[in-house]
Amino acid sequence: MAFLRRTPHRSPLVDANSDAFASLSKNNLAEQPLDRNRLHDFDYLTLGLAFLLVALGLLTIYSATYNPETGGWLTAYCRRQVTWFAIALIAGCGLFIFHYNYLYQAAYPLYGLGLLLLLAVDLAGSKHMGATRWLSIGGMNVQPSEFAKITVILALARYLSNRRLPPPYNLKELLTPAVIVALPSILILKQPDLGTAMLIILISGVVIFIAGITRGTIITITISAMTAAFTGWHFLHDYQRQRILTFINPENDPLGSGYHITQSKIAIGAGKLFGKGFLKGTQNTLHFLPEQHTDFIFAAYAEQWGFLGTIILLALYFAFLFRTLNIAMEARDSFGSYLASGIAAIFFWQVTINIGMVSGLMPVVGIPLPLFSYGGTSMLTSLVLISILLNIHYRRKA
Amino acid sequence: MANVDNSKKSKREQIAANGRVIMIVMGLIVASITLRLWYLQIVQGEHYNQKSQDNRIRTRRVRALRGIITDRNKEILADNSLGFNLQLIPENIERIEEVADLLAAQIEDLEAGTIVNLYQKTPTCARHQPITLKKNLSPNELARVEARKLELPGILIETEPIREYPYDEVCSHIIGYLGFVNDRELALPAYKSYARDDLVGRSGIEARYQEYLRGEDGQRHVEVNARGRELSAYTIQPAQSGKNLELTIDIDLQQLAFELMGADVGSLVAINPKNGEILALVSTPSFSNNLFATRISAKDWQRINNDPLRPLQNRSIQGRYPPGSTIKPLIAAVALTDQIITPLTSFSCSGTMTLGNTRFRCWNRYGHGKVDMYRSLRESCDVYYYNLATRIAIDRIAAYGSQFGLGRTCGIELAEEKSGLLPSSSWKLKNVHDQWYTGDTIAICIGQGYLTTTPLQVAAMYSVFANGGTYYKPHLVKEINKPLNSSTNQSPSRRAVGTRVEISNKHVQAIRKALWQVVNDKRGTAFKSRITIKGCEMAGKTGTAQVVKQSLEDLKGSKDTPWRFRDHAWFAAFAPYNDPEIAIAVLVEHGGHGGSTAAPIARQAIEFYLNKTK
Repeated sequence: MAFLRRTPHRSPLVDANSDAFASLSKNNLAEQPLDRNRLHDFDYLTLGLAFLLVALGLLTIYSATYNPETGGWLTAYCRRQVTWFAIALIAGCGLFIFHYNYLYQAAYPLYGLGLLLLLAVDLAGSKHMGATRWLSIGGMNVQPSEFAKITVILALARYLSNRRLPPPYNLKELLTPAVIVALPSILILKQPDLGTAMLIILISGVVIFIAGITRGTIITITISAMTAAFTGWHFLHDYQRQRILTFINPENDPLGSGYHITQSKIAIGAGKLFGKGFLKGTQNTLHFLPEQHTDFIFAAYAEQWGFLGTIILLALYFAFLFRTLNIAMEARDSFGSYLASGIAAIFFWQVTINIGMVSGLMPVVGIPLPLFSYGGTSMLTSLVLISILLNIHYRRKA
Repeated sequence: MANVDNSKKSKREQIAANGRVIMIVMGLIVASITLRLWYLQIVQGEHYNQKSQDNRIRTRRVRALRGIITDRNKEILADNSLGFNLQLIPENIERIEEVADLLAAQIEDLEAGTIVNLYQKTPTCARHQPITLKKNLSPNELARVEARKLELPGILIETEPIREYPYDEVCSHIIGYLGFVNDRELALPAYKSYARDDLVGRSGIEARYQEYLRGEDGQRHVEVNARGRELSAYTIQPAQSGKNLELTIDIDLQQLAFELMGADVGSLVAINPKNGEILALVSTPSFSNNLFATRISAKDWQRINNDPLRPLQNRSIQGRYPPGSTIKPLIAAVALTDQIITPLTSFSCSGTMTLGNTRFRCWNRYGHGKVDMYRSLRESCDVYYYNLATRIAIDRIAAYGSQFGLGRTCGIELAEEKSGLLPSSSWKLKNVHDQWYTGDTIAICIGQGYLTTTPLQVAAMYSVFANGGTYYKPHLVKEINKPLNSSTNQSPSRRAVGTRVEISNKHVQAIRKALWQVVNDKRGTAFKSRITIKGCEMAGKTGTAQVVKQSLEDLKGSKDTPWRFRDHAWFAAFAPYNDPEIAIAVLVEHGGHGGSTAAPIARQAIEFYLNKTK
């Protein structure tokens, strides 16, 4: 994997231990202009991998929404996805111009805004399928929990990088980060959206782990998490319990809640080694597969391209994740490192949970496959996150 | 967890060390997902592939078309036509109350409440499947629904082959009708190949030839999507249409006969005496078997089933009537054969005959005088036959009559045939617990008493006289599985095998001559109905069968006699006299005299038939 770990031109970085971002000044920012001579510092590989994933996603969205009766070379979903991709690309480019340290400054205010939006959802959100997750702002439906994912990472990265106390941290020293994670998680859990709440906790866990925690803390957290899981069962909504139960035995209720998992497994399995071929997946085109262009798009892909196709897709994701972690390790300061590892964690957990879910390894939670699934919010968030990653990478040399 | 130790390090060191741990964990998780996919796609791939096939491919039954029934000239009597069924797809309907109200206003016998109820009863998993609201819409209803199609989303018209009988009530007793197979039958092994919605013949030819007519259902693979909508279909086993039947019936004659019977209650049976082919088999009143082609409405069923005249009864084969004087040629034949009389042996008729204490009357109370066999038939003298009755044993009559088809079912291809009754002394002992008296024989010899016959039996009996002494089994089916448009006979016509009746040619010719006189001699009882066309002369015998005992005799004959007490009118005949092509029996219930009521009907039918076939 040596090619993935591009050695920096200069030996790394300011010692993150000593920098508490006192160096963050207008001067410092001015030192990092967009220099044409430094274009080779840009991480083309990560961006290329991301674009490749988006392209494969578009192809799969096309096959999943293709209607043989109406035909057409692009389905409406494809067109919308391309539009969102373009919007996201512009947003990402715009963000890239600014030094990511502006995010350091904005971290706490953004975190506060995230909490406010979540509170607003709690008070004035619109109900959709039994859950209040959406907020209508000027005719646009916004899902603040998506936004909160990023703001929590930002707040955590700032807090941890700001900290003078050297890691690893023990339980007591992790109290403040725990509060930073807990506040939005509880609000999201109230919506109720167990999946996203868990996701935020898992992502934050990776960031805190990379920052460094004591062995005792790991053990304590593991034990308390398990007890929490058992007691938490009582506080789960019926549909959440049902999801976990059908996850354990999906064939129990083939046309009810286990339907998703059963059909998804059939679609993946029916792909066999070489797949049924492009547009030839019957599970997909005959709509046996639910949500075949959003959360279950991996199954639609697997049916058409088989095991070989899924191996290639997994390899692409793995390479992409490997690169993002590398960016984290090469960042010029600890804020960049924590932020990049948080972003890596977001991608990592989403991919793992999504593929684990459609292949029947995990319960069904509504988490899309990043860069691949149809959906504007997901596409926008993903590209903005990649833009931040590239930003951190581009400015890795102090 | 080598990298996680509690010694304080720089943030940079921590990130590098812990990042590597995360990379390893990530690698492990991706590896386990790969393993899972390998299990699903490679190890279980074939299993899931099969499941995906099962998901989309459904096997549907292709209903075989029922065989077509035609008459002897290939005129279609039972056909398959398109029926239009009104259906509703629950998932496509938003405001069921509006749709239900609108439909109820357009369609007869359909109530808004029923529709709403059906809609609400449908379980979620079946909401994409159409529910049939009404079968076989009338053209009017169809037009009304089509016109409001835009206001009726989720309502669709499905086509389905339905049985159609172009001649309707003219031959509904022959053809019969269909009904849905019921749960009790479905449990029987004989109905193994039937499904719930199948129609089976419930009477007539439809019932008797069910196995021939139904054909063999085929199979079709249908590709469906997740909502159960059919996308494409391919036949894996084509349906085999049922075999076509060609009947011996001449539908023109049948129709004319039906019209001639008019409002009369009774029966007309016409047979080709040369082979036993039934040319017409009419029973009145009749019913519309088209009503049964789809589920018959309760109202129609009540009306048909509760009619006091019992239209569902096929009087031709189920009506058991005293044959009256139409039996006399048979009695004469047995007497001639047993050499009790010669055709010229005469008895004296004074209007009555006394046996013991009982006086038996002739219909002519003034008496016929000297009567030989010819005159006895020509003028239908009763006393002549009273004399024969004292000389012939009843068991001999029973045995002899049986050769003509009396007292037993003829074996016509209709399930409901009745045998009538040709009594014997042992029959009486067993059933009436009394010995046989000569008085009983006297009644038998003029076609009364215990003796009952069906019109079919009378026609078959006269066929024997017509053809000179051979009994052919009457039958209705001429050909099986003869394709409509082929000129070649696939199955050669069943050769009629007759059995010779115990009668000499000389005697049968004597009886034929007497029967000729009945119609063509001006003293004959049916002289008014004679056929004057040369070469088409008819021979026959009238009959007037008493319905009530002679003690009520005085009531009879007057116009005031209640209908149900009036005599049954019979006329049995054949023509042309020299080479008969048709033998016929006409019965008009409570029709009075055979000569005046039944004979004209027979004459017109014969004239029509001979004209047609000439």
